[in-house]
Amino acid sequence: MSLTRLSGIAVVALLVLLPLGAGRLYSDYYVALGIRVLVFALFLMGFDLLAGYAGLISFGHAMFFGTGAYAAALMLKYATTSVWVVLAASVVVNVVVGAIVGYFAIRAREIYFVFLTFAFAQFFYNFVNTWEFVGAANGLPGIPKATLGAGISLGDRATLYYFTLAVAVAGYAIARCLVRSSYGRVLVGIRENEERARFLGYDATRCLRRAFVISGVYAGVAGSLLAIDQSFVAPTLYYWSISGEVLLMELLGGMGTLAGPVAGAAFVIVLGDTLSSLMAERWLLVMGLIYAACVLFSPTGFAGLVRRLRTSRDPAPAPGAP
Amino acid sequence: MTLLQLRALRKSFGSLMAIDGLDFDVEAGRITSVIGPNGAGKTTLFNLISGRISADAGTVVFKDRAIDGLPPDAIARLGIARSFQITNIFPGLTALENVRLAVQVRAPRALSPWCPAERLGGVTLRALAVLDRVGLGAHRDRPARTLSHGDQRHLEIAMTLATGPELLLLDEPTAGMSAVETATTMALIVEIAQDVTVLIIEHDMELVMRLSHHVMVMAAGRKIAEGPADVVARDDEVRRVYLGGL
Amino acid sequence: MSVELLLVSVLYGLTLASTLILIASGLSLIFGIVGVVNFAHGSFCMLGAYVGYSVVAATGSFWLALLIAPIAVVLVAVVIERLGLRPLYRLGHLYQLFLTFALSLVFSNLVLWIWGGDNLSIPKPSYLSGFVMISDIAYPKFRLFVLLFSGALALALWLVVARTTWGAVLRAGLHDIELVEAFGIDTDRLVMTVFALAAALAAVAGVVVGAMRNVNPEMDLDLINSALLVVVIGGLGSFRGAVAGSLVLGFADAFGAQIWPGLAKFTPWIVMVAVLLWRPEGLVRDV
Repeated sequence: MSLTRLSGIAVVALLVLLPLGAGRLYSDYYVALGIRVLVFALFLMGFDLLAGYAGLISFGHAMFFGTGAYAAALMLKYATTSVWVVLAASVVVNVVVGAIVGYFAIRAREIYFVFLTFAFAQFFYNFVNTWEFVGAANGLPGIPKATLGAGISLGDRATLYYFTLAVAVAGYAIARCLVRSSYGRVLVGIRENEERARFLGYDATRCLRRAFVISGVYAGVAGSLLAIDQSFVAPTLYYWSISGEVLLMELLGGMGTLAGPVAGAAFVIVLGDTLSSLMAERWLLVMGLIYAACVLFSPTGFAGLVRRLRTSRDPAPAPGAP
Repeated sequence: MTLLQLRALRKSFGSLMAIDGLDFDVEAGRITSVIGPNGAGKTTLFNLISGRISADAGTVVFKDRAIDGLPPDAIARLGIARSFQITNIFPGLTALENVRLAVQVRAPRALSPWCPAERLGGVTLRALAVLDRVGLGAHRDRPARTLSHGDQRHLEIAMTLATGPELLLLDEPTAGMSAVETATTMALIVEIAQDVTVLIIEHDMELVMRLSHHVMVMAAGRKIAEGPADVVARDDEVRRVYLGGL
Repeated sequence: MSVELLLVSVLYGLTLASTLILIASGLSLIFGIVGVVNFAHGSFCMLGAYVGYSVVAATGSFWLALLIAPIAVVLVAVVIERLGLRPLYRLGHLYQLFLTFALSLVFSNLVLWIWGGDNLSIPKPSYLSGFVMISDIAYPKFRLFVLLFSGALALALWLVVARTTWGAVLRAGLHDIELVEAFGIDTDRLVMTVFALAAALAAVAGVVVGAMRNVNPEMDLDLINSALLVVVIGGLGSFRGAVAGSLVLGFADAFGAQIWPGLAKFTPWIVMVAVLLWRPEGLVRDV
């Protein structure tokens, strides 16, 4: 069994064991932190598909995150507490958002994608910030707890943690399958040379729009899970700092490796949590500096570092990542 | 049989008339060269045929089907493949992965999100066959960007072949090649032309003379002569335009 | 809409457009020459505004602020270009974009740290404050000043780009930077000059906008957002595009505030979507 497989299993095992020590060995707070890590890990899986594999860097993915959160909140408040229906609704809404924004954002000149995702995300933020129905700037507090069915409530943090873990693992499995599929290969080709891909006969625009929607769904489900955990949604979930943090996690982890950005998410969340308790608001400044340093000195992120460590011992060609 | 028909084709860029009323037929099964001085509109012609740009006026008909205005990927799927003046490949992927993507276009589950790419076994075999045909079999696992210039151009030709086209547009395939590489490319094109109709833009006159069944000469966006290579070479107008280049 | 209201809206639209031109043209030119979308451009404006605020607070002179702010911001920009962007050319535009994004994060938090989170205002000189009566509508004098000042700067920029030798080199570089290099022109210096010029204009615009409205730690976000909208609407990589986009956005903002005050904030997006549906590449097809 390869080292990668082993470490993957070890990580999952650790994650499974986390809630068991809560209250006894350490505070329950760490389970909440664990949920947050899993939420962003899920977010990054879809994001890496788009950014790392397809080569489209979105500066506004918070629009999906926030929409997923608000959709979940509204469903829980007004429709049903069944987590399955809630997540399904979140997926549907984000597919629509992804289709519409993707139609405008993915066009002949790729650089416009950056601007347009940023601009649309700002629009969503401003819209939700002023929409009275969802509480405008104050957001929606007091969202009911979700239920799993068969009387199991997700109000208990440990139960929600395990549910989130299951969704994250399933999400990873799906993402991995996508990335290794023939479609995944075409995405990489488009990233390497979009014109060449077109002239071979691939409808690059359609492939990219599909990837955009998929990544949006991942971000949306992540947002929904966060909303379910926090029982509260606010426009800050749409704020650009979320889009920025996600980009940071992606870069730190190593673009186009799937596992890298997931690790990047964990790193940033845990580090951010540690730093913010040490230095309140200043931690974002440190984050920005870490980010800049990463770009300048180690652009391939953690995954790149790991790869370099391995090839120094055993020179095998790396998989089709950038 | 006429594979490609261009009628009254016109394209201008601002005040520059790049193609000024062009009528031209490409017959199937032979090698046709398009020659002319720089700025004659040859690459613009290829861009119009392959869908990179759209014409201001005129028609492009491929196998009795109007293709003007179609996007490049649709035209490629109809059976026209092209190489570019500046090599257009997937630099970070290996030679095999490059050709595999080209073969994959025609595979039944080309865009399947769950079918693992390795399962398309026929695709890999066919890609290897094409790589061998252009002489790059030994380089299959090397990243394309590490290949020599000549090999990269051969790789691009391999990719165009791998899509199984009926019409192959080669834009200065021997550009930047040494004499040895040019000879190899020539032999390759002759071999390819056995099953594909080839339209080449070339500056290398020797290649044009030895390779082409038919030559079309362009200057200032117009066709000034057309015919078998030796006939065209003796044309006064062609000689004047080339100032003794032939 | 009454004639006076129309006039006032036109004036305000032109005012907004002129400040946008200063910001968006710099962004567009940086993209055209360097190939990078400078996400820190809003930060340049914001830094200019905050430096301007401090200068006025220390010396009481608004004009000194207009002079010192761009100098300070240009210094920062040159350091970024030399130490940050230059080494990243070999990695490509994506990583340069990431860097400018990281820097915008750093700057926005730096500003919070140094100046705090409250809204600040830059005191205007007394002869520029107050109102001017247009029929029965009171129009702020300072806005007229902004229009004249930014308009003059924009005009000067246009003259430099369209009429001088350096401008010709710039335009050639926008078209094909390698060709310009082949002619023996020091493209490194061209890039740095463009970057510095764009930063200076952004800083001046920041001071002026900061005085017209207020100075706050969110302004970089609003400004880069507007600048990007202008660039999407107008088309990327040309001065004319920046002008076209600024005019459209400026008027949309000014008239939107009159026609539907509740939805005024969304007028820019509606306009952007409309333009994109009609002309996907933006209004001005770039070089």
